[in-house]
Order: sequence, then structure tokens, then C-alpha cells
Amino acid sequence: MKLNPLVVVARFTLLEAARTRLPWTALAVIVSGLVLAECAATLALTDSQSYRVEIYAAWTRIALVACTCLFVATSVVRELADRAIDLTLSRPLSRGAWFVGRLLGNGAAVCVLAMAAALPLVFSSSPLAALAWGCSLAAELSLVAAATLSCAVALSQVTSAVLAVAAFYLLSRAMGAIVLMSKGPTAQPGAWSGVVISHLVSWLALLLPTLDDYTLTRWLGDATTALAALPAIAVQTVIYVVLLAAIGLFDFTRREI
Amino acid sequence: MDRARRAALPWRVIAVLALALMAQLLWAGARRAPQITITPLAPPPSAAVLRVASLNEPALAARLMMLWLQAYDYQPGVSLPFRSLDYGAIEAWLARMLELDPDFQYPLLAAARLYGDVNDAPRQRLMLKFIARSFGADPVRRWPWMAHAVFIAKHRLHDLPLALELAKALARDDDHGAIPHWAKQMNIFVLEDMGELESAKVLIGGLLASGKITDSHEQHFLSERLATIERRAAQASLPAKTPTSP
Repeated sequence: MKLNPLVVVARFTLLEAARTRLPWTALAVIVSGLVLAECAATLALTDSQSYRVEIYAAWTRIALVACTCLFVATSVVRELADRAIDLTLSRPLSRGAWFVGRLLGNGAAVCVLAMAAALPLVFSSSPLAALAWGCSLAAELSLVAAATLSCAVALSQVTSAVLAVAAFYLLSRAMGAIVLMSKGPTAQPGAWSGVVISHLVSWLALLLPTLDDYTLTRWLGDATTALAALPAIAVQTVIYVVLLAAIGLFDFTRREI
Repeated sequence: MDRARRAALPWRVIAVLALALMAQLLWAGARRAPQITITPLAPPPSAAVLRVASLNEPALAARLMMLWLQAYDYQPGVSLPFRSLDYGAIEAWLARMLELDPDFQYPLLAAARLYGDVNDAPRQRLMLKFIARSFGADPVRRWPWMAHAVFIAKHRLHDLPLALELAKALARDDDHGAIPHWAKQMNIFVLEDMGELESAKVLIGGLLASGKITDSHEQHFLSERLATIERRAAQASLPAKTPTSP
């Protein structure tokens, strides 16, 4: 696999992101988050700074996840539906290069979005904590972008791809609590259904990334904890992006175009 | 799968997929198990905030709040005993639900049958006071929970003065006939249990004389009860008179 085609596809993905006004959408998300946070801080009788930071961080996190998912899904499905992929692959470019190039381009785009979102936090919390939060958000958005790319290639429909990624994202973020509930006092340890569900949940937890450990708002008050969490997040992100890319590529290399 | 397609299977991709899957399983298996964290019950949001959050569907907000509160003692991985719950906060949540939807009976049922069943007298009293306050705001619809509160005070707490206080509140005249006679007559039986036989006699006598009891079976039951109380009163006064009799 040559490097050049990868860079070309990644560059075109970034160009597409710029031309489909993704930066403006992200800016709108950031500005609306700032306004929302300022409103909440004004209403709070005390501790207004924490309201400002937490509401902004929570809002931008979920809104940028939605933006990333929609951007990647619409862009890939459009390319498949318009048959532009035929033209691209008629050039000396392998399917693997196209897929990995797309992955790299999306990854670069979401890193810019995450850092832009972290920028206002530099002024309201410590710069190191804001940087760690931004890096974690970039990792989270990269995972979402990789999942969306694989789903969009496999399903070729925006609605089903977005719904599949939303289910994956919500399940990954709630998995810690679901594991505890499956082993908690409400579960019936004697009943076969309880045993089956508990095992299924444990297996599912092994297969999903630990998104509930990513981009925590409480890090913004504690830079040490935030920085300490980053290596584990980096390892998990690399493993899972490679896994998602392999799943997507497996389907993409076998389909007829 | 035909031979051509099988031959086209991307082996390098399969190898990467297998390696990545193995790495994910090892990574996920090696990570720390989720920790149990007990979240204390925060005060409920204001009614105005809840109205906005529910898009002006306060009845729906009240129902969702009730389900959330009911599940609060089952937090992920741990079951909290009622004795460890902050009953002040629970009362505030229940009151907020009634504020959002005054027709909603569930908070009162929860106060009487769920949180009121705790084996802790101060917490039970808190729930009984909440029921009594709520009953005062809408006696027509909330009398069953007040009757249950009398039962809890009498049989669980063994606090007859409190039971009498609640039963007296139940025996009100502005209910437009919504509260049945048996509930209104609970104060008579509490008085009887307290040994206040004369007061019980007066109440039953007054009730029979008022003409409010129209059912013949109920009249018969109350007459029998009056006769029993009179016999008990006579027996109670007998030993006191014996030493002074010539």
C-alpha cells in the first residue's frame, strides 16, 4: 500500500469536510454551547463557573459526536450512491487505500473539531486539563468516525448507518452501568435467564470500547487525573479503530461495485 | 459462497481483523471492573424547570419522576435499604410530583405502602405527616392513603395519639360524601383502643342520632359496638366501685 494515494484520499476527505461546511457547523455547535453555558451560569446562584464548564463540555461532546456521525455517513453514502467511487477506484488506487485514506481524512478532520471545542475551555479551566479533554474528545470522535465509515460502507444507507452508530455509541457509554446492573441485586442469580443475560452482557462489554471512560467533564477540574487517563484511552482507540477498519474493509473488499 | 468469491477473500484484512479482535478482548479483559458508586438523592428540580424539561407535560414529568425515584434504591450493582435513604429528600420528591399533577395517586401510595413500611419510626412518622398534609389539600381523592396512615400509626408504630389525630382529620364533613363511613369512624375504634370508652360512646351515639347512617346493617353494627363499649365501661367501673360499696 503506497503512502501517496492514502494522503490524496485523506486530503480530499478534508476538502470535502471544508466544502460541506463542517467547520461552520462545528463553530455553531461551539457558539451555541458557549451561549447555553453562559445562560446556565447566569441562572446559577452559586458555583457558576462549574455550570459554565460542565454544560459547555457535555453539550459540545454530544453535539460533535452527532456532527461527526452525520458528516461521515452522508459523505460516504453519497460517494457510493453517485457512483463516484467507480471513478475513484478506476484509478491506480486499491480499495484498502481508499478506505484507510478516508479513515485518516476523517480522523484529521475530527481532531481539528475536538481541538477547536477544547479551545474555549483553556480560559475557564487549566490549559493542561483542557488539552487532555480535547485529546480524549479527538479519540472519541475518531472512534465514532471509524464506526460510521464501516457502517456506511456496509449498509449504504444514511438512516440505518446513523442508527447503528448511535446504538453502538450509547451502548458503549452505558456499558459500565449495564455490567453492574446485570450482576447487581436486581438480577436473579438462580434463574437461567439471569445467568444467560449476565454472560451476554459480560461478553458484549469485552467487545465494546470503554467510551464511558472517555472525555469526562470532571477532568476539567483535575489535570493530573485527565493526563493519567490518556495512555489507556490512546491504546483503546488504536485497537478499536483498527478493529472497525478491518470489519469495514472486510465487507468493502468483497462487495461488487 | 462460490470459489471465485472465496478466493477473493482479503486474507490480510482477515488477519488484521483477527489480531485486532484478539487485542480488544485482551485489553477489555485486563481492564479494571466497573466500580460501584452510591449517588446520594439530590433535591428535586423546581416545578418550573420540570415543566420546561417535559415540554409542558407536568403529568408525564411526575410519572417519570416516580419511576426514577422508585428505582433509586436499586443503583447499578447495589441495593440500598430504605433505612439508609434520606427521607427528607424522598418527601420533597413526592411533594414535587403531587405539585406537578395533583390527581396523581402514586406518590401517596409510595409514601403509605413503600416508604412508610420501613422499620424505622422517625422515617415512618415523616411519611405519615406527608400523607396528612397532602390529604388536607384534597380529602376527596386522598382519603384511602389517610386511612392507611391511621393503620400504620396504630398497628406499626403503636402510637395511638398519632393514630387518633390522623383519624380525627379523616372524620371531616366537607368531603361531599366521598369518604365512606367506616373510614370516618376510625377515630371511634382508636379511642376504644386507647381506653377512652366514654368518648367512643359519645361519638357512636352522636353518629346514630345524627341520622347520617342510613344503612341498616351499619346501624346494627354500630349499635352492637355501642353495646359492647357500654358493657366494657361498666366492667371497667365495677372494680373501682367494689371497695366503697357497703
